[in-house]
Amino acid sequence: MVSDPATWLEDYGDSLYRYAMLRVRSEPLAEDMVQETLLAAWQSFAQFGGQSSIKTWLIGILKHKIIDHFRKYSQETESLDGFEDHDELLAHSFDADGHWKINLIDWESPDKNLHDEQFWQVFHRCLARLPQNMADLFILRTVEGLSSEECCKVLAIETTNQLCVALSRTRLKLRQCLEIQWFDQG
Amino acid sequence: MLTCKKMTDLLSDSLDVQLPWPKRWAMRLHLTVCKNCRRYRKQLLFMKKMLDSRGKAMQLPETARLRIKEKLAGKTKG
Repeated sequence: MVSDPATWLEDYGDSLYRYAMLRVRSEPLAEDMVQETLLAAWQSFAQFGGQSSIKTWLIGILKHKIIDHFRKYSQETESLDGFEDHDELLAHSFDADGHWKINLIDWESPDKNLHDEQFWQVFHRCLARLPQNMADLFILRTVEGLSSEECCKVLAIETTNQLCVALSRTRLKLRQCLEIQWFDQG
Repeated sequence: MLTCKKMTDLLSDSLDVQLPWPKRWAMRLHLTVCKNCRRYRKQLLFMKKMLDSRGKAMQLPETARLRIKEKLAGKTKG
């Protein structure tokens, strides 16, 4: 059953599309990437060893297509490889004893922003500012619900402990951007 | 005593996994005395809720689905 590409489209089409959309922010491009991913998967299915799930394997293929796209059009200039140094972010947020040295704003209810397209523009801008691996990690773990082990496989992270730290720093960074770009504007 | 920096990691972890009770207990204690960490927790939940809602609404359009289906059918027959 897993070797039927039509099944892949029904089972994983939405997941692949969501991931592509959150990264490239263009419907036609995201649709093309889903198509190219499924075609590439079909053509290389003989090499699929079954060490991961079909979904993880497909997401890995799509991830490389997204990287190729950004390399080609140079839309992402910072930190294409790996996770960037977080010292600056931590120094900005915490004092030497590890306590907050900034006052966090009390964000309003999510319901108020959910249908506000301006909020989503800011959100996507903040997501685009994350280093590539951080954005991938955040989307795959938070939106797609991939397990820690699956995320480690797709993103070539050695241990789940490293993944937890990277995810925590990603959330901290995204929070900081949203606060500056959106919540502190009013 | 937990630091706020450590709390940010634990709060992030707690979104993904069930933490052991001693950690949960220590976090609860810290949250009772730290307004910033309470706000940080609220902000993490905000981002999670927003993305959950947004993600569910993001589906591959039917026209694209049909086009891809045809393309795949053409390839797999060949």
